Amino acid sequence: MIKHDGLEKLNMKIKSYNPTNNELIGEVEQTNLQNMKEIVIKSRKAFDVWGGYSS
Amino acid sequence: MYGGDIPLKERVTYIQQLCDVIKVKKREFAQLITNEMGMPISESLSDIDSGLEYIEWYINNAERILGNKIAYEDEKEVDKIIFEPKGVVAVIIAWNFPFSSFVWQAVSNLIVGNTVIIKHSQLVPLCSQFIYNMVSSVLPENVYSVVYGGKRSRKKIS
Repeated sequence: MIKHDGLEKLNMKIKSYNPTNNELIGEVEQTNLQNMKEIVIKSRKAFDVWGGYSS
Repeated sequence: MYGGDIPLKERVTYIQQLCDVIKVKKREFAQLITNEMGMPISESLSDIDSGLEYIEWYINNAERILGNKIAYEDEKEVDKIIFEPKGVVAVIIAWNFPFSSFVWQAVSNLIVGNTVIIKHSQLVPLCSQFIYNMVSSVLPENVYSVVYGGKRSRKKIS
């Protein structure tokens, strides 16, 4: 389970724990605001290729 | 009117490949769901099986539902209904069915032709990462993207 929340701008990690034994099973980097903007820009560009007509 | 390079038929082929990858990874993924959010393994497997059934239905029915339709036709003209994708779609989903929720909201959008930016619940970041790894092994780059975070991320993405 998450140990903290709302700290995206600090480049924190989300830690994941097994709820049955509280063992740490992994972690991921939170997405900060700058990365989020880049993701949106790249997704828009990808749409230009991906979003073809139905037929 | 808008037109990307990858038509529906080709997108369906991509999603079929994704379906095949998920089937190969099913056991590993089910165990991760159980480990991360406490769902019994039998229910984790059911979540994946159920999601796969939806994907197969999308694959089998995409062209019938989304293909161009002729609304009127005579010797002088043909009027067609053409379904166009909308663009980038933000998908924010809950923790309780990490795979089925992804299928219902993200895979359906991918077949339609939208690109997806998804944020799973912060309670299942590893499930989100696992799904991302499967999807990105098949689909073109940046068609499917992930945001990891909590409430602030949810507000920003929406």
